[in-house]
Amino acid sequence: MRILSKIYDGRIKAYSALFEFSVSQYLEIAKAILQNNNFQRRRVKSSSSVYSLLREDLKAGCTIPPLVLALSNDNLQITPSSSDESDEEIVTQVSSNVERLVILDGLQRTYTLIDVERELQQKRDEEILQSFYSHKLRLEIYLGINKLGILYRMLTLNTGQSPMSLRHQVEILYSDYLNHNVQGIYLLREVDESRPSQLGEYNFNDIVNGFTSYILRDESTIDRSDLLENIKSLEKLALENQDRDLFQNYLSSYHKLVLRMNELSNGWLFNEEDSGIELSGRAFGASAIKIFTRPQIMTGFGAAVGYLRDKELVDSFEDISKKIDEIHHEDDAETAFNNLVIKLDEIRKKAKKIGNAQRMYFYYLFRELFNEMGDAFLVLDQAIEAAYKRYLLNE
Amino acid sequence: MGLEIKDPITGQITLLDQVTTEVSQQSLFFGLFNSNDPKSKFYVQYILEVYDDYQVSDYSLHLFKSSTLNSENNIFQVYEKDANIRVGWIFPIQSLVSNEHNYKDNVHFLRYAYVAFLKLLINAENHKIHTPDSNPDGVYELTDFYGDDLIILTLCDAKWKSINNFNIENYIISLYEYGYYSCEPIDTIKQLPGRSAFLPVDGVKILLQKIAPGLEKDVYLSRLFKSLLKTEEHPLIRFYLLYQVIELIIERILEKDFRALINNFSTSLNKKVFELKDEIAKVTSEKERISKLVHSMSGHMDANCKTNLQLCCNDLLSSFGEDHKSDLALSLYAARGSIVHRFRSLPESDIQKIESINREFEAILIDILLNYQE
Repeated sequence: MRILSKIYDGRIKAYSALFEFSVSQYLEIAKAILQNNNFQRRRVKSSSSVYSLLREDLKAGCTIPPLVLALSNDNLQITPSSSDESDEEIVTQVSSNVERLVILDGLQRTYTLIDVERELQQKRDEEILQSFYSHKLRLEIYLGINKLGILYRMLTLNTGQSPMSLRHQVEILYSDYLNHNVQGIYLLREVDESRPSQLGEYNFNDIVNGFTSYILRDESTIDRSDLLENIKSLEKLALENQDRDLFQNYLSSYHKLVLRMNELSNGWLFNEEDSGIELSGRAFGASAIKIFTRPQIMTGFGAAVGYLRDKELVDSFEDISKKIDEIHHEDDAETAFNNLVIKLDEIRKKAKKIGNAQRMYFYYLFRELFNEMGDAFLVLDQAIEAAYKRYLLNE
Repeated sequence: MGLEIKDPITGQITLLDQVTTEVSQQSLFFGLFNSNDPKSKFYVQYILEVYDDYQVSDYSLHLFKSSTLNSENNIFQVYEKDANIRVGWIFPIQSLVSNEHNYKDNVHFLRYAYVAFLKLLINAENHKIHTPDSNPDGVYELTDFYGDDLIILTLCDAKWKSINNFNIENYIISLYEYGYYSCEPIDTIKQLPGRSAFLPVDGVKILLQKIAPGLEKDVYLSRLFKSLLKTEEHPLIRFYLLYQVIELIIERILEKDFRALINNFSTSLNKKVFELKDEIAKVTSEKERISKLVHSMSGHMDANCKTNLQLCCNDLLSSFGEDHKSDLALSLYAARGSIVHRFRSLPESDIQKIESINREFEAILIDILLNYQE
């Protein structure tokens, strides 16, 4: 492994170093990356003919375009002055942090390399295998990049080629938040066979959806990839302050919202018999926590903050977090929360797609709640009503 | 038979003719693949609770679309009206891919939902469906293939076989009455005026009524309710299409009356030829036959529709400068005459009056077709 060149990328504030690896060296780290990041394991099902052509070419010793990887700056000693570091030190940084590498561009080519290796091993064609291992390839590795920078670079690299949805890219990138307690928040993965049960525990997938909704300004978060989606995301990300950890800020403000709603509910529990309210089915949630930890709220919240940010009505998630403390209701908690449950039941009765309709309703609810130009600003019960009216107009 | 995926780069289409079930991350996935390439699998997740105790081969699917009963919660039990037995369930495709609706815990629905989901993946009936592009994840939603506005009628074959000569074709008009239009998944339906929309009984049941005896095999009726009315928008054409039903029935009335007349004449000892001539003139008169039809079927017609149809017909007659008629049959006959012979003189702004007639007329015709007795 040797470094061919180093260039500072001022847009994402990180160094881009071009490395030369042998195929065997790359395969070693590539397997570790795929092993460590569950979300990076998916293979493209399409274009098998294109990749089978590449397999044959690789056996014949073809050179492929540089693969692009990133090493995030969390807990790393890489700084803008890293250019002064010796190549040897940088190589050490990379090789001792292999588990933190992410493949930004070239995942399918990586899989093809692994396929070729497996095929040659099975054929026991030692001569061709060794020739394949010793062949050189180039890696461009972004060093000391923050996550938002990685996302930005992933999107620019992916624009116009084999599509990967924004949601999937967010999932890959922020998977290190899984199973770590950050400021009282714990993200769980469904695979872990554990479901969020405590205050502060959330499903990682739901949070990823919510954050993606913020970037796309769209509460429906369809997990599909297209060029327009990527361009739209780039435009929005370009507005963000690259020094902030946007994902963490989304997560913290959302968590704060859940806590505040719980506090405002004053122990409210929905009871059909006691309240005399007859619903068409089970209540959307029987407590404030149950309501506000459902995925529809996370996406509605993300998209609404994105909307308010575009309209320059809020500056950031920190701004929202400050406002959350001031949310209140004019009627008593029971009336306000019962009304919310009734509105959600009305939506469920008639909606063609209930989940989408609920997301849209919460999108309007948070827009009303945090829009200081509106009458329902920070007044929960008014926001519940105003959002319903807006929902009916736009369903 | 099966679903298809298209490679966006090469344009190559892969037929997925095999379906397996796989559990991953506590969720059930159906793996779809081509029998010649079992390693290349595509996946569709099943998010409802799994109740797989019904044999898929014991059920049949029929596909519809609706512009009224198309909400996720529009999930109904389907009963055969005369036999009064439940023969299946009808529900939107959305209820198979979401667990936000009120039936997500209903075991009876969930059994049918599983059967329907699996049958749609198998697509044994070779429905005309969408072919999505292959995507990086290889994971799809059922709606990628079938669209998101499909309505699925799932029937239990054993139950409907207990009903004499059960054939879904005989219930197409009854389903139409509820606003369900027989469709292929790739069809689009428009919000058209004049479509009747019955409401489910108690909000939970659809009662299917068989077409009247003797009309089952009529090809035009099948065409009318399965395709013509589904797409035709112009009020004049819709009226023509609907009026053909009247023509069809009064022709049967004519045949029956004519046979009776000749029969009476041939068996009569005192043959009065001039009276026969008068009688023949009477039974061949369209006006007379319409009156006979309307009066004989009056008890089966919705009272509001009857009143409204007469008002609408008279309203149209005013536009042609004609007098109102005091009887539904007469006003319908007169309106029909004016539409057929004098449509050119109807002001453009009054064409919507024909649309109003069609709305009521369609409902009345359905009552006739379901209850007509010779």
